[in-house]
Amino acid sequence: MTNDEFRMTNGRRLLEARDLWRSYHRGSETIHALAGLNLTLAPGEIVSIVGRSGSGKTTLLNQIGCLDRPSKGSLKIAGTEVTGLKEQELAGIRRDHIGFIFQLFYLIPTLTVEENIRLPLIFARKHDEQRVSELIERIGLSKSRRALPKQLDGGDMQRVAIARALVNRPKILLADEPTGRLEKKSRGAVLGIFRELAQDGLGVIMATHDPELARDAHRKLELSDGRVVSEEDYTQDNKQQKEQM
Amino acid sequence: MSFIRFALKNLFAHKTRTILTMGSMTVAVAVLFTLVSFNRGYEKALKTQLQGMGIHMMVVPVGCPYEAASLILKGGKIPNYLPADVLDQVNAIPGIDVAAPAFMSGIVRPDEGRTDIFVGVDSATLRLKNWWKIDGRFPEKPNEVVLGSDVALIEQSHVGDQIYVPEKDATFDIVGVLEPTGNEDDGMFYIPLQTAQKLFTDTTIATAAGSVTDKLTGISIRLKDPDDAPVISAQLGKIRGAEVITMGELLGTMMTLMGAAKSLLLSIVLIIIVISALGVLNTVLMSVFERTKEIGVMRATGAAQAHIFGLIWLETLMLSLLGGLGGLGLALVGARLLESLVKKFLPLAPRGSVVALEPGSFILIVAFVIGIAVVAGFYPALRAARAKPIEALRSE
Repeated sequence: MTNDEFRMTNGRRLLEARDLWRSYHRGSETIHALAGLNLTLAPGEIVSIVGRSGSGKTTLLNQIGCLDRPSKGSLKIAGTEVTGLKEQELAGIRRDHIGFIFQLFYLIPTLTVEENIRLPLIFARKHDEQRVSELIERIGLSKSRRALPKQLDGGDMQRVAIARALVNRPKILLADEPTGRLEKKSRGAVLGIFRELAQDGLGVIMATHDPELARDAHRKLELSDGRVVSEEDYTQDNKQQKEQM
Repeated sequence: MSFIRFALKNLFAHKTRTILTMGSMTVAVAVLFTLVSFNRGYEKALKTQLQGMGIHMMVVPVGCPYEAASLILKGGKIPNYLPADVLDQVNAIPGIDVAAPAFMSGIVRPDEGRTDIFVGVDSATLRLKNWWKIDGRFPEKPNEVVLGSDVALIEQSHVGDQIYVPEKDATFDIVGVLEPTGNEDDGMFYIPLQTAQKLFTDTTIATAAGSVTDKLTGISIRLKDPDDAPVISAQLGKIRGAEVITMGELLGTMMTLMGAAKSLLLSIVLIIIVISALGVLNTVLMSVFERTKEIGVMRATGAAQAHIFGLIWLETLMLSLLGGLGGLGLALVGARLLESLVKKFLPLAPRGSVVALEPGSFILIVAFVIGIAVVAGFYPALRAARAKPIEALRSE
């Protein structure tokens, strides 16, 4: 399936960023972390963002995750233009549509595995124990559900972070260097989870320095100075690889 | 997991800090609750005691209303006497049901830590205190005595026994023991009026004022109609050498005396509470600073500003409430101990409990603690809620 086919098949976009700018002022100097960036994401699509440090990868994720506001441009998430929304409305977008995974996991140290996963449900005022149990089983941590984060290794902590990002059934999963702190074995497991999720219709955007992980996406965008400088579509490659396997 | 459980987990992530902060709140609330309870209890006990005396007003020597108040409550020595003819003048005023003369004096026994109060009475006292029940009879002969129930217990004496008063080289036959009344009457020795006048009149004062044997320290009055008190009080006030104290005035005087001490104590307690509230604010603020990244993560996972504000405020509320409830518990346990200590320093302490641990006070203090939490938690909660998600996530 090509990138265009993704968009055609679904007939709607989970994400549409048009001419997105994020500028900062340092004294008289203006720094453009994002400079007129365009991006779309379809359901079931995995997009990897690569680029050297400071190229704008994390800034882009923060804009899409509604953690920061763009200086200029248009950003639609699940059909809603979010650039003019109030803080409370942005929180609603984050809660209902976005799942965020961080390189350093950022689990709450005082909460157990299941409590960390359940946390977004509290903010959404939902009670869905079935979903929590289902996710714990899916990430393979049933035996550690009452463990504290400090009792887990990096791979398990990232699995918990993924489950936490998914508990509210988001449409878009944002992952900032999701395998940056993981061993090779764990990296493979995380990617496996992303693929499964994509098959369920979740759109995934991951910023990474890992070339292997980037190639395993459907599409790879390379950023430099806040702009997309190259775009590669691996959809056919991946399909062919799978067929060969 | 509920919001409350989450807040509790956050609180006890730093046990020592949380417990110390709670401890300061516990002490502050314990002192405040005890003070409020003491204030209510004291007023209540005083009113009960004054009403229980069956007296509407007292005529005392001029210039010593406070000493008279002390006499009424605890007994003691008055440094002045009423002129001889005052009783006749009082009895001449219409509307007075009973006017009971009394001569009261005390013998201090520091070795035993007590003062024996001797009250010279006549049959008018029996009419005034018509609820008295005496096991035996009222004293008639000069060397007869009726003991208050507490005195009989302390002296371990019964009707038919004798007691010797070495200071006055006098021996009394016990002809009666008063059944417990629950007020200060239980702690006195009742002897005939003339015997008291002879034995206890201070000749230096009495000589200056006239004869030795017809002095009085006070006249207790019951009116036919208590509503006549203002009119009769005005008439009694015209008697030379006498001063009138109504029970309402007496209560007011005592509460005024207490008021100054109470204000001082309340000021100290308020300072303790302010310090304690600042402690709570500091603890919560430190916790907010330490958890800035955590707050950023919560925002990224869907928490609105209101959620963060509510969470931090809830933590403050729980910290204060736990400390406050601890303080209330401490006050309930320690109130009696504190009462005995306080009573030692109170010159006009009524009998019985002066600490009233009432539900009203309990609710008042809980509301007060919630008020402190609301104020102390506001700034940290606002600060946490206002943090921009991206800046919170970048914080170290």
